[in-house]
Amino acid sequence: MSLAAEAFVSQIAGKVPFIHVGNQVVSELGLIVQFTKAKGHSLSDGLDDVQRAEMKAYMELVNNMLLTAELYIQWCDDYTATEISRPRYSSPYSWPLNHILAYQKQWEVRRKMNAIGWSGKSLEQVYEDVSQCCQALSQRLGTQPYFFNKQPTELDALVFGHLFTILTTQLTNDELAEKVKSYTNLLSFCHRIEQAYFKEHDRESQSGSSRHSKGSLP
Amino acid sequence: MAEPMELLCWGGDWDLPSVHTDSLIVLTYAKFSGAKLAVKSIDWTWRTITASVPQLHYEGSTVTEPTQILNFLRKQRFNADYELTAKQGADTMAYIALLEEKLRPALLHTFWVDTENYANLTRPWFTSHSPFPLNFFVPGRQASLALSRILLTKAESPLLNITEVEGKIYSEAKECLNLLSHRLGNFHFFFGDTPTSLDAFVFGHIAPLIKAPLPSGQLQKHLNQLDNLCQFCNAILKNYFNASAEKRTDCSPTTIHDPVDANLQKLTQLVNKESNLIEKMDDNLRSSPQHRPHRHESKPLALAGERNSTPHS
Repeated sequence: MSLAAEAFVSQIAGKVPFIHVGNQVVSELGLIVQFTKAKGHSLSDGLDDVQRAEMKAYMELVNNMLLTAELYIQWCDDYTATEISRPRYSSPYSWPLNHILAYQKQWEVRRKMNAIGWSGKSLEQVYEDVSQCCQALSQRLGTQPYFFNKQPTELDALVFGHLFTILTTQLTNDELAEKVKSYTNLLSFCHRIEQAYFKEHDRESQSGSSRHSKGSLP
Repeated sequence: MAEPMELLCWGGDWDLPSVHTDSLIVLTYAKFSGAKLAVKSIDWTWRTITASVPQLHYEGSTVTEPTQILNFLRKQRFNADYELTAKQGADTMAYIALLEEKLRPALLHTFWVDTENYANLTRPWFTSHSPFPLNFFVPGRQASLALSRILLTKAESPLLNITEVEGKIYSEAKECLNLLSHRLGNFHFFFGDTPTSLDAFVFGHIAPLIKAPLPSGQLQKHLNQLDNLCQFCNAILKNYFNASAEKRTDCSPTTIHDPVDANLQKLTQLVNKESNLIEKMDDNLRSSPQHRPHRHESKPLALAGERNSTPHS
């Protein structure tokens, strides 16, 4: 399938990321993790029940706070939405589909924020929430290399994904990135994972990086 | 003396101080931290549709939402989390997020979307606790809010409808309850022996599920199998909400008194019975022919006569 058609399909299905294995397509982080576990590769085997409960809890915290905050900043803050999110979201499509899809996405995200009670929050409060979430993660990480000591787990992958996105995506102001950077152990955590696992990948993706992301961490 | 803080919340039933999860969280935290709250229930007032509950009023300022209210109480030096380490504080945030994401959708579904529960339990309760004519609107509004929240957060695309999401949210909720049970283990509270805000949040979510008489409750059945969570819930009710539970059961006065009084009553009755018996015996003795000790003074001759006569008879 051509890249545009695939992107179109994934937008309609709505579930990115997805992996393609043979003739199976699995989407969403939770299902991908289950799929790889079934194939015999699992990162959290070494954890006991209490630790697994903690890991799941922290993953929910990240989803609840960081993901919602990212969506809020992208779509509910008018300036960011107009300058960055809508143009970026509608870039693969031609007129009038690009306008329709962008506004539809914005409307959907705002409805969701309304339902969970985030629509009453100001941008400052959202930054404050992100800061608290990062503080919790920072305290949990402490001086360990990974969240559950020596081995990386799904939680490390999830946290890295979100923090990397926040740190490398250029927005209208850098306040969010600054807040994350103030937690030095989280910053070094991201650097460490980037160096260890993505050094090769980074060199390949330099040429194909999107308009609004810097190639690597500052 | 500062005026007391006033809390607006939904009323209670089924042995609970409130049937509403968020109100229950705030009430429990207040008990844990020793904050004195003047609780005003919004049942049967117009606030059932106007107010966002729970709401804390203090010296002119109003705070809503459980997390905001708990922050406010902490600033007023009512802090149940004082002894937690930084890591435990981080864990608290994480577990609260887990409850909100995994358990709350299933709770909303059980009470407000599941047709049997809604028609037989939730709607009648809220209708009977709202004033006319609001009783026509309040339950329906809550139900549609619940449904939209579930669909918007759990159903990833507009193509899914509620039945497809049901399986997913219930399995996630069961997993969440299992995780909580593992984390609690054999301890009294989540962080050792003293209750904290996490205990308040967990109690607020699971207590209605345990206590409500739900007609169709697969999640309730699953929860009842997790003994340590049920004991946790009952222990909090017994230790922190005992007084209000007693008032609500409407016992007759004698049974509220200590068992000492009951024993005293029994003893008194026995003593009365004994004294009655003794009196009867006394009467019998007095009326018997052989012993007339009272006749000595009044009839000395007759006595002498009797005395003389008895050896002969």
